[in-house]
Amino acid sequence: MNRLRCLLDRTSWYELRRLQSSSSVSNSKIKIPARIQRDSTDILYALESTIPKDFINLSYVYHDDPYLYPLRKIDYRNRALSYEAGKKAAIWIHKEHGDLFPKHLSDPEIEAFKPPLMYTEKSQVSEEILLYTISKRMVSDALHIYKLLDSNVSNETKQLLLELLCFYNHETAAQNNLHLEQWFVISQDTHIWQYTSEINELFGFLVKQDSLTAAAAYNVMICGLTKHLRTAEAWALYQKCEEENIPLNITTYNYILWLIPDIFGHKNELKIENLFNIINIINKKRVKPNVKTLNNALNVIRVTNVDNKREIAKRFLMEFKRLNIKFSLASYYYIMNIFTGNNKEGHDNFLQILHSIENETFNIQDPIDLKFFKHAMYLASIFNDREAGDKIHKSFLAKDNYKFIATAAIENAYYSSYLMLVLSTSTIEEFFKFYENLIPNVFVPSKRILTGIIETFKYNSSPHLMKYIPRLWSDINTYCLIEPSTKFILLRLIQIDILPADSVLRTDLVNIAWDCWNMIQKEIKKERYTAIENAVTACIAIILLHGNRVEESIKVMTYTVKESNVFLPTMNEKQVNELFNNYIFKKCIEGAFLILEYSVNSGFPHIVEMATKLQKLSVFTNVDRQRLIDLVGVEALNSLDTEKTS
Amino acid sequence: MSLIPYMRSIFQISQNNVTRRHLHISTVLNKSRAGRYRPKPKIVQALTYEMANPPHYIASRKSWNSWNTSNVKDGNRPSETLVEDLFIRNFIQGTWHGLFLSEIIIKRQHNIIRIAGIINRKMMPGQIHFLIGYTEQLLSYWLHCPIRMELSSVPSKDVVYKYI
Repeated sequence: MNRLRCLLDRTSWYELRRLQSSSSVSNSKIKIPARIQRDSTDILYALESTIPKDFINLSYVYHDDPYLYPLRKIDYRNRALSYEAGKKAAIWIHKEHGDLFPKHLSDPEIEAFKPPLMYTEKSQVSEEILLYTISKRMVSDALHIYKLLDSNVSNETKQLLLELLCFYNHETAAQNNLHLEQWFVISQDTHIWQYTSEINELFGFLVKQDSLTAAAAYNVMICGLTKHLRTAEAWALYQKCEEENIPLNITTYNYILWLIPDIFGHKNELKIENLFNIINIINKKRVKPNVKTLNNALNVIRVTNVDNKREIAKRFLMEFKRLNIKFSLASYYYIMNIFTGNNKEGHDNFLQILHSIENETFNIQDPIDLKFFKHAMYLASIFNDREAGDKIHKSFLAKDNYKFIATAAIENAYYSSYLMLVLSTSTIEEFFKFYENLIPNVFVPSKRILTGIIETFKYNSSPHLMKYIPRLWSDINTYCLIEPSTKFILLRLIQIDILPADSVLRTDLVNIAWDCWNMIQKEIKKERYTAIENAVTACIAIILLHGNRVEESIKVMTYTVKESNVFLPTMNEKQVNELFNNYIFKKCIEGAFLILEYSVNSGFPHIVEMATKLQKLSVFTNVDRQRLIDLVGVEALNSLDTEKTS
Repeated sequence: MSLIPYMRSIFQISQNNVTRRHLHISTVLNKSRAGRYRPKPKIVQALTYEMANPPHYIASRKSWNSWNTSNVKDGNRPSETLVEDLFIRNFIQGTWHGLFLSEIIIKRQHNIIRIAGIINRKMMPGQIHFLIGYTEQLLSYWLHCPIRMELSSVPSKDVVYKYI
């Protein structure tokens, strides 16, 4: 009965709780959260953030196959460019033989897959088609259509065509969306200025029209000429515009500012004078400057060698801040260049700049924006400031800031500085933890970086290093073709005797030594080889001995002693003694004889002591005695015997 | 009565059947042969797993070479898919001459076509990457959809399942 009551009580208590909670809900007001404006791809970012980061991810460009996936640094470039070369071949075929491909297969029609239309007659083309071609940035096609139309188009279209020719004069990579080519290949052809006659004809026609059309033509021509490094022509045209009082827009003024360092070379005063001239003109004509005006002005100040350049730069910065213009990363790049000398004050300025970009979002507004992270990391490594380096890297990984690294060369320089910074500011364990996370999943090191790392360890005899030598050895053999001399530095770092006898590392290190010996043999067989020090071969023999591979070490030493003419004699006394004592310890007469022979040939002292030790070995026979006499001479041996008897 | 005109044609067919010799359905030749490899005298044939299993093992021991939903009820473009698959196979056989060791597997998902297969290592990886780029781009122009190649490479003899 009690039990029943208890149950009833409990039920009623639950009922009460339920009623209470429902009443509280009904009393409170439903509050609909404010709508968050989201992009079409935000759902993908949200989904991505739920997946843990995969540290062994492979680049999607290459095939996930052991034969096809690149290992060497150079292979990454070769294979990506091969892939894109194949694509380019197909694009070419599609362009040349468009009539062979299906035209109306997709529904709705997809423009990208349709063969380009070929126009041969005037009746096929119209101004609309020309405008469409211009909007698609197809330079040669647009010119072809323009010629078919007998230049019979409106002035606006002519202006647009001139703009197209001036801006995309010869660039084909941008039109074909060849991202890998842009990533790997440093464009060298910015000075190519094609279609000169067509441009001059268009320009000549447009400047004779009404003043507005003429001004627009002047503007675009100055920009085009500057962009393609035809500085003298651009400057002359600017002078003409100034004389004839032709209105220029801010983009043109920005290009003119960009011209100043090229035009005036080392004339520092003239550079500053012209900079102020142009800024005054901009001010007088009431043209609103933008961030590129600031960047290009700072660029002029950066390359000018005057005493008060920091004051001038400060004035500019304050003025533009007053105009409420948000700085781009290029502005900070120039500020860093101007204000951070290699001293205490420079370091403080550098930290202040880093502090001001923290938590800021940047868009690409200037091509120089792409230099910011690379240069910031370089400065951090110069100042040896790990904290600053980590801060830069953190903001580099935040949001989509990765876009600020646009080519392989910049990425290489950035990570190279970061690796060197971490190397110089942390312990061996910390460095290799960082190294293993970074390489090769995020970044594949170049030969220069790996050589730099090994060179840094050159005089480091820390026992902690042993653990990481196999990894470094495999990396230098995998990612690049490195000189034997760098490999020998790594080999000489091996101190196998400090490892415990049961350590698994021993086999790895001994294998490294044996690989090294095989490499030396291959090197010697070449017709032209750089002479190898016999201190290296001695080092190999010592490692092999410690790894209980006596026969192999004798093989190495036999070659070293018998073919001594191919080696540089740098083996020192310490190595000789270590080798000799080890051979004696292992009761290996053959090895001990080789070392003795080398000592006799090179005139090392202590030959008598060595001979004594050799004689005392239990496995020493009469035949060996004869060999010993041949080596050290009867006198030495007799003196030994007399010592023994006395 | 109206049936007679129709019946006449049926009679004709049956008459033809009687008069013809019909060699191909005689006991000797009425036999499934397609996709089956038989030993030949004096010639050793190396068969891949796919070749070693006759067609009636599809779905139990081996799988299909074309994956699409064109032939399910109300499927989209069945005949076009077949012709396109034939075209892709011919194109790949010609472009990757002597490189494919396996059948060419064509998988269609949404608007993407994935072409898979096993290739040998006769060519340098750079050249293979060129061919991948070329094939993907040219076929996508041809079929108006994105194409992906999914290849695995093996040393030559690795695909042999048995010798007959």
